[in-house]
Amino acid sequence: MQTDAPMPPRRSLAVGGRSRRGLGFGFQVLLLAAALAGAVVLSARLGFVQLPARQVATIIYAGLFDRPELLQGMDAVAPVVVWDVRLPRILTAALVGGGLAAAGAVFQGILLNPLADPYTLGVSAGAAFGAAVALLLNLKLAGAFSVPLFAFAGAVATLFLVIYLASGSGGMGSTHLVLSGIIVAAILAAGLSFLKYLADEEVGIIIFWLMGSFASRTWFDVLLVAAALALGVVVFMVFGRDLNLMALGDRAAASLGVNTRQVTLWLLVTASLVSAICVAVAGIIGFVGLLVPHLVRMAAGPDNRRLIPLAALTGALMLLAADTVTRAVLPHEVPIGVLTALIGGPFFCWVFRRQQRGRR
Amino acid sequence: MAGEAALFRTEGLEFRYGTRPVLADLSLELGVGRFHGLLGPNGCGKTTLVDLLAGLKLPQAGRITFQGRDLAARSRRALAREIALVPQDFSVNFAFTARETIMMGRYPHMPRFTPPSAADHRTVESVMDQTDTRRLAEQPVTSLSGGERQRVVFARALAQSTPVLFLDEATSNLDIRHALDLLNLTTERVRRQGHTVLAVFQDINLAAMYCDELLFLKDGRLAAQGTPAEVLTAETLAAVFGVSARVSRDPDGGTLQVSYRR
Repeated sequence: MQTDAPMPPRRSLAVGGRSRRGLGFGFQVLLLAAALAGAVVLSARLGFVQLPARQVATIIYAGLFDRPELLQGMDAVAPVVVWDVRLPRILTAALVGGGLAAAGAVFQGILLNPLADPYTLGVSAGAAFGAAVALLLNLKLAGAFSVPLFAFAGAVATLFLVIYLASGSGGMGSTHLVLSGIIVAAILAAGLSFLKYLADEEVGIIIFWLMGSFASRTWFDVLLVAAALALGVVVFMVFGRDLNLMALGDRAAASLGVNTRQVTLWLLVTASLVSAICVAVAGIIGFVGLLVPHLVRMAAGPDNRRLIPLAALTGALMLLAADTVTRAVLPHEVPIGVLTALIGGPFFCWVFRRQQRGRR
Repeated sequence: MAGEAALFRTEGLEFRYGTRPVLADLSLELGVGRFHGLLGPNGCGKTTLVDLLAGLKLPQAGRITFQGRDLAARSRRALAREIALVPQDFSVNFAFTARETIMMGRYPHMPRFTPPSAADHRTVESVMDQTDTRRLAEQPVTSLSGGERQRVVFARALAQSTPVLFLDEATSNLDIRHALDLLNLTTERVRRQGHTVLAVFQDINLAAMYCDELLFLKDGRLAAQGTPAEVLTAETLAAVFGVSARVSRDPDGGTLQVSYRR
């Protein structure tokens, strides 16, 4: 009979009670950042036209530091393929992965539930509904941004409805939040089905949007998600220590000086905004926000001040890898949301099963 | 009791959950440097009173002064440097180690984004020795037994190094040796450092052993307050709990003992 290490695994003792989780935090961040940079270059090589890594690195360098003279003598197509086509998609994928994973870590922390994700509170259902309305009515109010804008509005409106439903005189309990999230998501799912029914022959467009994609993203998308993620990480880090205390329950956290209601609100709104922008840009991509924080917590411990940056980097790496597979490796492009669910789902089952076996 | 030495004073305190009144017109004083025991039947408002005094809830009417100033005017963080609470519910939802959990007691003293100082580490280490939690230090709290976890939470409150300590049935899950150890530790802080303690007890004998002063709460009102010798009587127990009991002196230590009749 195989006896696995109990979950979470006991870690080796370290001197002075510091950095008991193996490598130092700074080193872990550096390692992941380096891996991510490597993955960006590698991914930019791959595709319909294969390019040498050196050429890709030169193009990126020339683009970043505005040195067009470096591109002299190169095939004129290569810089266009790398800089205008592949990089925006690659960076959007990485940033969305980072955003979903960081937001997932925060949702799990607030909802006191390691199985929560950016979509638990109905943010995805709201976004899907908003996007479907825009697609169905063929709204062009804001040109090409109509669908993302409606998705974003749907997500934010849903969030505030959920917060309103969940808040009582005694603040917002995590159970109440999850419960109202489920109720609102169920109503929106029914609404979405109705919209699909109304859409008749146009239904394909809605379904395709819902499955998520990074195809033909632009530098605008990159900057939008980057801004959201940067803002999100700053807010998450400011409240990271308070979020640690909230793992002890509301009463204990309050007695340790945390204004629980205010911290919950800040973190919920920020994490939802980050998720909503990710959904608006890329469609609905599941499992990244659930699985990545869960895995990182197993490896690096539950301290949110370390967990959130590490989860963001790991999420970026994973979603970039998945998008590269579907873009450049598979014979046909599989929608990214389908791919992450197909890989993430079974993997999550395995992780969960292992945990259940290790449980006393 | 001398009004000058009152650390906490409440006047006409009222608290309701929805329409259900929990505390009604409650006025009391808690003296500095004393070990107070709070006793009463289930649902009489003990936990609510503790929450109000700790500034975790606001009363619907009445006011609370702490150190002569309005309690509601203080920030949560400032209060966390003065008052520590060991709650009844000691669940921890993520696998922090015992040492990390105890270190959280130092957070109110540490500026944001600052790692623990050498003094913070020293406090945590010494508290772990006092509470017999050192051997649990590297274990995830989620894998500890209920009693072990309660000791870790107790240690966290001690690490907070506050002059006021509230215990909400803080020893209910402990075996008798650990319960006595922690209460001895608490008493020592009261005697040596002049700390003030308010502890909710279910076990009246334990309360009689440790408390300088007992407060009996019934239906959200103060039924009796005084030294054990003054208020721990068969009449009080009959009035507050509706039980018939005999109160006698322990032949050795001289503390009062309650034995119940069926």
